[in-house]
Amino acid sequence: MDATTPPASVERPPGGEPEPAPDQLLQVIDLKVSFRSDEGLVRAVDGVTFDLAQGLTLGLVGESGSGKSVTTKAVMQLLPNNAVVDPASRLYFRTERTAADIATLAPRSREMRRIRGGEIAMIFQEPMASFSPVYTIGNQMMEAIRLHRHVGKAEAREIAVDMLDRVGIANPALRVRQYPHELSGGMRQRAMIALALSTRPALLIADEPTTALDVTTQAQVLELLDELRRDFAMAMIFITHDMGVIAQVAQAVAVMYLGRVVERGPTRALIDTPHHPYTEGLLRAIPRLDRLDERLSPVGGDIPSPMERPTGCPFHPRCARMIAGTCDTAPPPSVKVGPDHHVDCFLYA
Amino acid sequence: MVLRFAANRLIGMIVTLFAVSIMVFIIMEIPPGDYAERYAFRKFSGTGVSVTESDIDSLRQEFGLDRPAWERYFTWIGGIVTEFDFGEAFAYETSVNNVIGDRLWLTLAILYATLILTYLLAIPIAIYAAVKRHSLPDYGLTIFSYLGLAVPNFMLALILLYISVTTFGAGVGGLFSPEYEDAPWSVAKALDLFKHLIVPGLVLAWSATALQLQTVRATMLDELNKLSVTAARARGLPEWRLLLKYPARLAVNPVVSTIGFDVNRIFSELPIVALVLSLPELGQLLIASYIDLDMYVAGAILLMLTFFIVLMNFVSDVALALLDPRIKLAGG
Amino acid sequence: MVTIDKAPEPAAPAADQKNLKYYTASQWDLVWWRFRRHRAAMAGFIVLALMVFVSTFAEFFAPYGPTERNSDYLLGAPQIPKVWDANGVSLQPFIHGLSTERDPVTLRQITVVDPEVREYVSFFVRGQSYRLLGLIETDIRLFGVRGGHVHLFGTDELGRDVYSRVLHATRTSLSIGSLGVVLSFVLALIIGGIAGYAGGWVDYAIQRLTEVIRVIPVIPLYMGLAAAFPREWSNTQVYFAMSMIFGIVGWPTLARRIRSHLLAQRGEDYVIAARVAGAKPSRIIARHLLPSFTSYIIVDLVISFPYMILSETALSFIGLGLRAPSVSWGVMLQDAQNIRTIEQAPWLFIPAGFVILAVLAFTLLGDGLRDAADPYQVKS
Repeated sequence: MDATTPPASVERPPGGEPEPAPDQLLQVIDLKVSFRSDEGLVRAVDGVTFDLAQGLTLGLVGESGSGKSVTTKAVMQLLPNNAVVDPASRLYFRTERTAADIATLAPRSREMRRIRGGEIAMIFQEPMASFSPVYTIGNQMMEAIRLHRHVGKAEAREIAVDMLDRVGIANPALRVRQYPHELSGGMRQRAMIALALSTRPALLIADEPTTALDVTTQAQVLELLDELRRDFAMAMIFITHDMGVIAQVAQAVAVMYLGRVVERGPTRALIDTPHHPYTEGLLRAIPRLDRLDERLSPVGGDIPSPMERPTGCPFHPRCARMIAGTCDTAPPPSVKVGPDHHVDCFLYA
Repeated sequence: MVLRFAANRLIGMIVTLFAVSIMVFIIMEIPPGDYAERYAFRKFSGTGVSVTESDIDSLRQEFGLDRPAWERYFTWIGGIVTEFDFGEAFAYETSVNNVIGDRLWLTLAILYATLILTYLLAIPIAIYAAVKRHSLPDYGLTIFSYLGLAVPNFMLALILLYISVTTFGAGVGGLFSPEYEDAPWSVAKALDLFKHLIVPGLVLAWSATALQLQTVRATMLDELNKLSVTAARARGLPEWRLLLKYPARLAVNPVVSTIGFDVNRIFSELPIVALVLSLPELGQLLIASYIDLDMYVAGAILLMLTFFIVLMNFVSDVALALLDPRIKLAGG
Repeated sequence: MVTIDKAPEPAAPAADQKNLKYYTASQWDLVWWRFRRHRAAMAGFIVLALMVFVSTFAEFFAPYGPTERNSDYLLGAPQIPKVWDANGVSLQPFIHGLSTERDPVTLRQITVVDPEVREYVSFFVRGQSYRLLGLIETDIRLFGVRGGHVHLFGTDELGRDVYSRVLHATRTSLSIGSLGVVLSFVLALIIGGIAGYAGGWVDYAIQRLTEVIRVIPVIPLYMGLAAAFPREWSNTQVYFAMSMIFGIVGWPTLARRIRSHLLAQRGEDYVIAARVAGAKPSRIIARHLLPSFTSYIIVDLVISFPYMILSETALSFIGLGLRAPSVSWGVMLQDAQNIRTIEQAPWLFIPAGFVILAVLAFTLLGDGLRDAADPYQVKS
């Protein structure tokens, strides 16, 4: 894929710099991230574009290796040292206190540190590993609170206890003094959520936060997250590979495949009328109680390694409706198929 | 919780020491001939007095050597435990305690000087190298740690000796300047000792530092990749504060857990280094007593060295339990 | 070594063929491929192979026997063969001859280099006769000076050739270490195997014993055991006794590793699967458990070599190990113990260089093997 010619995109104004839209909290425009490796530069995110309004949840769906995590890490400026972000990428972020293009900030700058944790918080897949085992829950929570809210130690502790209480942890005054290994898995993830939200961020990035939990706890955590989003008037990016989870929490969805967003749109529209063959495949892979007699048909084949990126549409080797001579030669165009509903596919061109 | 843990470990330590004392006693018993023969040979050789078998037998009775081994073991260990009496040193014709004298404290001074030097050098350098991975200092450290493991300490001592003799015309050995050698203890003497501790400390720290550099660097690299570090970074913590509070804090744990191992290593290398640098401590005396087959002295020293290794193992266990909250719950 | 060589499908592109080869390779092929990429480990391997080869045929590669004396050249400096000097260039390498003079001040006999005399170094010179590998009687040496002497590394106080002695010492030191490693390995396999397989109180007792041996500082322990050797023992007896104490003191570390490997693997699914399938314990150990960690055991053996070598050197150095006329690195370094000699004859340090080289080579080799030993680790 030629990196110099941006894919056809309806969002991109003809000529010149893309303009930030003032009503959006986050606008990711043509984000490209590569990693330096022994085999040369490997492109992990290849021109991702989406936006997110205040107070809403965007679901970011895709198999592992599709670039979901790299995209959000780029938003947080948490990429490892061997990552290279294309200088043309734009990450506009706007709140009451901030108006910045994150892509232009230095990862260690004061402004970036204020945004990271203060304006955008993050929770991770492994609730055990995201806490350091040698400090108490309270210690790690108060660290974040004092860093972003300029309060004293006692007040920070109060906020921490309140937050633990708010996420449904019983006996929070005891829990703040405990170490992560003294909490159960579900409780640890609640504590992690409490930590992330204790700084009152405008955006919460949740990176597969329920994957490591059992099904009952999973449902409770999902419910909690949705409730907190409404109460705290915060936006959320919810990363998952599970379309079923998306339907529960997200208002909008972006489906990623091999570093590109192949389809995005409002959750209802996307689930009812999926356009991209990959989205259709993902939806067919969800077991449904009303159709137990049907066989689940997951998407065939494996996601190719980013080092061996197919030419043309990245999905064409696995696509049942591939148009020979078209899909394997040029990148597919971005087509508007409904209100805020876009798909990158030749089938609709 | 920590107290109960420590008490558990303390009991384990006493059991180990008991087993060690049996082992040491066996080593004392292995050399051919017994104490009476060696005593008689040493006392009367060259004096023209001919020693008969019955003379030796009466000596055996005098020293209680005619009694079974287990009885002698209990007399020996009983004397040590109840009165700190380590027996008689026949080569010096006085008690082992007199022979050892100040040497125990000098040995400990060398040990702690070495440990402090090792950790002061290894921990910060290794952490720095891990953070600046694949940089010039990092490669330099790798080369140094290989050399540190390959060049034995006593050879380093010889090389230092050679350099000091050829360039300064003077040796670097000893623990005191001549004027303090026999002087009573004073502040000036202590300062003099302190100065003289640096060279043996560095020589002995050489390989321990090389090993710890590798350990700390590897743990630090491991820790840097942990999700908890990313999570802390996602909280907006300044980088240097983050490095010190999370990965560096945990990279120190393997150092703490291997203190006993380091002490063991240092004591293992001490005798030969002490011989080359002519340090008046226990290791050098140990070699001399092995060569003289003065086994009560050798046994006493072996027991003392091992006692401090076991003690430092205990200290390391307790310190680790204090440092790592996960251990306390697991209990003894 | 088993190689599964599947014929690649004719239509498969080059990358697929490479992958196919990778996925169908045996464990040892994978280890070898990874090891070959490790340049430092390869260098260590080559150095050790050279040491073993040259020291095995030490009599041939050394111009003199280990105790042969050149009384005209005591504590003599190394002689480096040259191909030119003030008198011009020569195709055959030569060294300058020696002559004895009387020191005008002390009136002592001293040896001086005479730059006018050339003594040519030739190959395949006849020297003292010896038995190659103890079998073939011959007197051909790789190089030497006909009717004279050449001392590449100088001579010691008795006029013995340091170069020849180092080659012989290499053989002694490496072989005593190997014997020690083999012995400790056999002990470790038996004791660790019993502990790991039996479990329960047997395991507990063995564990405590291991702990006690490991807590006593190693070299003082060696010294204590070596001090017990009767003075009247022959060199051969001392030699074998030393490798025995290395084995006896060295097994706990290895036994611990074998035990923990066994315990860890015992609960693995594939072992349970084999047990459920009705395999006998002996078959499980031989077919499943041992192969699963042979590579780790090899690594452990390689990295335990340096300790043996350093211990031998240290013991002989202080006079509690091998004794003259045996010649090992440690025995040779005894000469470099006092300040006067090292000041006068720094070349007596040369054996130290060999110790360092050998230990470094073993360490690098061990590290390379350790990295290569886990073939299923993700390619980095």
